[in-house]
Amino acid sequence: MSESVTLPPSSEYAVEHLKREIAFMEDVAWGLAGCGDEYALLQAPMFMTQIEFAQKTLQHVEEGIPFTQLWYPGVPEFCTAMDLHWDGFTRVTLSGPLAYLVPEYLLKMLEESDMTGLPGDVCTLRRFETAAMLAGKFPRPTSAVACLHPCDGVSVFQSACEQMFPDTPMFWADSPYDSNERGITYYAGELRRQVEFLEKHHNKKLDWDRLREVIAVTDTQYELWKEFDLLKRNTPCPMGSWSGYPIHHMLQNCAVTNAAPVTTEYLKSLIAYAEKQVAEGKGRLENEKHRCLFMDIAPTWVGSITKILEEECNAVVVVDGMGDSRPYTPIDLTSEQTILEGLAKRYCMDTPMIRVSHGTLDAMLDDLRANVVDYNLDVVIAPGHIGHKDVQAAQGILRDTCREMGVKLLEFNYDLFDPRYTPEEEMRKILTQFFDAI
Amino acid sequence: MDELRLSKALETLTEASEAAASRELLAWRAAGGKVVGYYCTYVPEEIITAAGAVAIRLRARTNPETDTASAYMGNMCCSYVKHTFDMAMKGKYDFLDGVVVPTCCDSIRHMHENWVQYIPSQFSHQIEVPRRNDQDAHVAMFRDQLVRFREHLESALGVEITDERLHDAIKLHNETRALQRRLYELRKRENPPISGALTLTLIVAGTSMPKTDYNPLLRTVVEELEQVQGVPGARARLMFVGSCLDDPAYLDVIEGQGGIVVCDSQCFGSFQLSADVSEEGDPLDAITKNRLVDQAQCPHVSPSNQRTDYVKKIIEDFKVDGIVCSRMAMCDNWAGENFLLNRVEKLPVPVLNVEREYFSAASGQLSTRVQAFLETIEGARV
Repeated sequence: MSESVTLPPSSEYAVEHLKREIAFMEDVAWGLAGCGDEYALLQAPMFMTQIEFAQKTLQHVEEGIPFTQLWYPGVPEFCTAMDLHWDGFTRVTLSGPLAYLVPEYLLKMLEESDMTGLPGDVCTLRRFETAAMLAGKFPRPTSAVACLHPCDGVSVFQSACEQMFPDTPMFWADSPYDSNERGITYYAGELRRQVEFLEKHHNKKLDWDRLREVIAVTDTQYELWKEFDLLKRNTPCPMGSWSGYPIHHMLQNCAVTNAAPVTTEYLKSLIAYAEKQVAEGKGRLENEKHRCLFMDIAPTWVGSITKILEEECNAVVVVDGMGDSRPYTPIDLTSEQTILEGLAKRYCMDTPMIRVSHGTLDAMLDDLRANVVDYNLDVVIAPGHIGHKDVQAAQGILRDTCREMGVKLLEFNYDLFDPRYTPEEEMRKILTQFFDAI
Repeated sequence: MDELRLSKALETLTEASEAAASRELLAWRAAGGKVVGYYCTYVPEEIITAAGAVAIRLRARTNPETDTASAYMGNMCCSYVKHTFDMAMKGKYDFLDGVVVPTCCDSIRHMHENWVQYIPSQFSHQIEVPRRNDQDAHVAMFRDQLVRFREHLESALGVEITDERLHDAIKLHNETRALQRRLYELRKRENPPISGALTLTLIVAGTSMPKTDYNPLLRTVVEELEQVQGVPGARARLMFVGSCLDDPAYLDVIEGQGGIVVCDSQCFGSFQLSADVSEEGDPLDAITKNRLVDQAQCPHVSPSNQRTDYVKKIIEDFKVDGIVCSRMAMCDNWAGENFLLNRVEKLPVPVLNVEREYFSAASGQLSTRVQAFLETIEGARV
């Protein structure tokens, strides 16, 4: 008698959607290639790999080849080493870059999410995911591997997933609260079960030596990320706002290019660009007045907020909540156990957002203190995303920490996926008044 | 209900349910007894009892304000957390020797860090509650948490928590659960002799006074109620599902429309009494298994089918006609659960989805919606 939904019977809509998505991304890549802007061209590899990835998913769905669906922070290294194709729940939900680039498309997603019946104070990404699932946007995977983090909202998505794909085997890992040895051992156990799960449902055996090779490549990529971040410490900052954010996407989030040479080349090109800027004493902003830490993910309307910050406030977001290479530690490849523990640390205690949201506030406050000093920041922007209730519960502590450090703090409420929540004019007022005041 | 003589025991329990600290608790405190406050059913009261202290569940019905808490917590945090933390900051929990906070939701877990930072005079402990319970590793992890809690409590209160004391505490709390289940059994009757609001009053009373005082009082009330014939004519038998509710007045509004709330799936309700702790074997093993596996689980713990199965069983056992899903604003855990029950699960009864704050003022709106819901249920019978 409850008003239950009808499950999508096939992946027909998902296929149609994927095709449209690919066509759009090809247009973007084409436009990017011809734009002639050196800085914009740096991002071209990300689009190209997303296109290739979506094409591969399409091929798997159309030809009935088994694949898995990962929810960030799944461990793509396992899949790469097993030669198992995966797609990301988040990538499918946001249709790659569509939600970021096409306001009309984002609006349609918001309208669909409003129809799910989920309350408006639940993280909009979770509502997007649920709406996408109800609409049949997700190709039905052979299996799904996910983690019950970084927030309570994941349980919304998890419940929907379990019920909407009742015949799809799923592995939901529990991540520990503590970031110590106990926590690492615990999560390593979850990852071992994850490997067993993938082996069982895909009839493939993980070759641990192949996994070592994959991890070795990613370790090199993390080192390059650190090298890039060191360059961003220069004043003026050689890069524009959010420059670390795409790196996170390339390496981790959908990890569409996990261990792929294109990611290494992408990182090298960023370093080369930043080195050139530093050598010429150039910043991305001509008149850099403020260097900011934005303690959250780039919103879907990142374009307008960046414009306000950079052009009207002369402020650059040097470090953001996703684009920070700080915590990554190379993985000890000695044994299966050291590998699992290294990956446990990488995906539970180092990965952005998960790192600061799964345990106590120590990681968040330590990163804040270190970033302010290392990157010579004078402003901390702590937007209270509607879904980040953990950070909301720490506003007093955050304020007192910034006060102790003598750094200016701007706190406001927003929805990082829904520009209607804090319209552009309101955002302009908040930001310009704040920067005028300091 | 009119036939029920308001016994002295009932009066005492009703009074206890209204205050943050009952008269009995304050008497215990005045005699030098220790008191430990806690949030959430995953915190094992038995260990606190075995430490010689009284465990009370933190509530804030006497504090309609959040002005102080709002300086520390943003407006996306749930109102239950803010009202209780507000009380703490204002010194209204000064009768506590300590507080235990689980990691059961995003607002609560960082609220604990506020407690550590801004109320350092009190002992505080955080218990990690896994988000899954279907592997031995999850159970082992939770047991390890309880070992740490036991050790911390021993050092904080300067006591030894022996297995013998744990066994005694388990027996005491099982007695409480057995009495509360008798209360719930009465609600299975065709004409229950007790309303949902009064049941909640009696359950809440048990969270704010020593169990040694509570159990005899509750026994008296239960025995009295067992002799009472319920009044026929309820328009529908309803189930309450949702974020923690400790306010009987809320159920009064629902029942004021002619329905009767006969059961629930919430943590100030059936969760805590849904399963006994085994009195055999290692007591920490038994408590671990009870909390993480045997008792009804809240949406913090997956997989979700164990929760929906629980709801379906209750619908059957209590012959439920309709479900009122009432989520506290900003509560992500229950948003997911209510979505599941409303949109995904094929339940045999209709579901009404409503929202509330910890202090609910919108009783008119609730009345109207419940009224319409009852008409829907009645219409379906015709």
